[in-house]
Amino acid sequence: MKRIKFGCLTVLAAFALIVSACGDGDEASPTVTLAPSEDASDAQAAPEPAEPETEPETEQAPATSEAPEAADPEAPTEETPDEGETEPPAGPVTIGLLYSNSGPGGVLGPPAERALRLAVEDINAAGGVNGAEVRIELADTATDPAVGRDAMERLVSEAAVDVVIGIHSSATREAARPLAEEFDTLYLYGSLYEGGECSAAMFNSGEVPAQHLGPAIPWIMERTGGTRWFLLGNDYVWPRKSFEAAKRIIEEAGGEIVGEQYVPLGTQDFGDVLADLAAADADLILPALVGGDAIAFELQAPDFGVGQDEVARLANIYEEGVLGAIGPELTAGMIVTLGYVKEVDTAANRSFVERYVSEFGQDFPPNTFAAHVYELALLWAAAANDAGTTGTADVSAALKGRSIDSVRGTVTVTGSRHLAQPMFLVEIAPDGEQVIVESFEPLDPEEGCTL
Amino acid sequence: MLHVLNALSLLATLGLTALGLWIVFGLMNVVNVAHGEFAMLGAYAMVVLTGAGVNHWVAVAVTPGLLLLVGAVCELTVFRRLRTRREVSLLAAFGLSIVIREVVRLVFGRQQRSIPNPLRGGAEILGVTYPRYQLLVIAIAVGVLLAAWLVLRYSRAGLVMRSVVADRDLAETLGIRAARVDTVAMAVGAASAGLAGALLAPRISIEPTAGLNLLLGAFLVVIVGGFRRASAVVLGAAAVAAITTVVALWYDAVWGQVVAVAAAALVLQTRVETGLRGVVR
Repeated sequence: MKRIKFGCLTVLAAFALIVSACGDGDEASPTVTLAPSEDASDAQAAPEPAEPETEPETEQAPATSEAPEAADPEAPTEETPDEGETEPPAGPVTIGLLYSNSGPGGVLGPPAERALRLAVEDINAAGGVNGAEVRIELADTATDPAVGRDAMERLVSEAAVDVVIGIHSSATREAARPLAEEFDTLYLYGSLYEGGECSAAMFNSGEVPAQHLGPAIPWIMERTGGTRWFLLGNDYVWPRKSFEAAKRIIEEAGGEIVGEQYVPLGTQDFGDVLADLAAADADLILPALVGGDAIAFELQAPDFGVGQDEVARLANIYEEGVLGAIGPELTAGMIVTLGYVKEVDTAANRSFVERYVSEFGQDFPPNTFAAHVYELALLWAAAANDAGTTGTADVSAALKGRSIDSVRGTVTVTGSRHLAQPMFLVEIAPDGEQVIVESFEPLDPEEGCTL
Repeated sequence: MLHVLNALSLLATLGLTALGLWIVFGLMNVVNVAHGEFAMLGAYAMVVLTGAGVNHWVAVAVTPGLLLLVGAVCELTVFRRLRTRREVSLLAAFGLSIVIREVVRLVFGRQQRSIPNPLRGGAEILGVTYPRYQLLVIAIAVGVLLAAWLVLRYSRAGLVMRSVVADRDLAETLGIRAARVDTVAMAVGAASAGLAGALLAPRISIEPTAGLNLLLGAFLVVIVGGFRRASAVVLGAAAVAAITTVVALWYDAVWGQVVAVAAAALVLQTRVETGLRGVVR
């Protein structure tokens, strides 16, 4: 009898493991809520085996980057840098991707990973980095700072990657940055964020408030004639800090704040918020809500008389997936501000989107995170080739001031370790299509980092 | 007034999700952490059914039936074999929840879904405008909870269930097949979760992890309300809804949740001494 029970349990456990291993590599990560009762301990234990799925080729990435005897005979030698004194690194160069590939922010994962694959194809086609082939090492943060920290540690110590590109929340960035500094590994953060990051191990290409909201707020106030703003965000560092900047920008533009609320990540019932919102008589909402929270909010808002038709949104993080799930009926007319959308009308972007879709299919189309990953990988490879090394200090120096003609126009790494980049305002058409209604020339991030 | 209705609406949601959890725990002594996944399956059933052109309300009626089957199958294949070992059944339920989540992820992908709201707009009630759909959900929840209580209290089926809970062996000597009662309990529990999922579906982001949020609320309700009386679900839901709403109103939503969890922990602390064994009177 006992044996039967154990057999049953073992089979179940095995099945669970198999399924979670197949499931896009994202171990079911319990959202970070305060779990009461017995299930707390289980929930804690769950994300541990999240060994992210890697392509077969990347799985054999060597643990160390020195491996001197592995003088790859096929490595193109004509690409070796002119400076004779810097010894050329042998063996492959590895780009680590620290990304939200499961949990509440899991939808960010696929575009980031796909864009990196495209960038690495390009880099390798052009001869790699300092003559070495570039490989990819993936690490899932599960949208959880603790898991993200461990994933970062694996990248910088065990996998000894040459550079880490990050697409994840600010909370995870705070947890991962000390490791980049400790292991002297360059860490390129590509998510839109609140600004203010300043570390000698980091560059931050994401849209910061001066770019993301600076021109968009006055623009939408002029367009709608509205002045009364309601700020609504998830309760973590990005919404709170970017709202500080938003308040300054709104004030300068002659607007006023009539409400400011934060809800926990994972909120699915917005009744109280919507009651306050309806009472606030706002003209405009800045909804810094992530993923499923944004969807629930927008689904519930119209019934309280505060849908897009009544109170215009300036959406600053609603990307393709979220907008699609809300549906065109409720999003029509919404204005979205982002540094990239796939509708950008340049020849380079059209061919980028075509290539992306033909390689990876229609689901998870390229978004702003994809554009940032793509640019960061190309910028880094160019800087590392110029520096003739992948050392943090040398590549940092080579990155500052570097420009590339990207899919969305020219982007330039600033001396403040951020990115001067174009911005786009998009209107959602009644059929759900995104129409660019305004674009801004590359904007300075207005960051003060002097490292 | 709006906030009172919000609290009622939260109460309805919590009551519906907690009902099944409470039934399964009360009757089978199984802490079914896969309960949220049953509700999530209910929401996905709505995505599939309404996507296939089935009328929304027909789909709402069909979904609990589908979950009834899921619950029965889970009981027969998993929980039946672990009846005497509650701590193992907890693990099994946890494994089951992972399996369900990952299968859903494989089938539907991780992209969030939504379904259209069948009853748009607000209605004038008590001097404020409140979403009509939410008013309907409140009414349905009241009906379901009342029906559950009546069945348990006055029907023959309820008597059989209560007898199994009171003394399983004695009930069996009287010709009651306790194992079958277990199956029914799990099936009904799953069906009520399915109904909750189906009713919530038009208002939430439907994704493979949606069940985790629902489970948390249901757990709070069952902990705060306790397992002894059928009215516990309503009382627990009312307490949690009131705490969450009041704190959210006076302070903010984050602290609303924190205080609700803290209250549950407090109740758990004081209740542990008298034991947590579920007895339906």
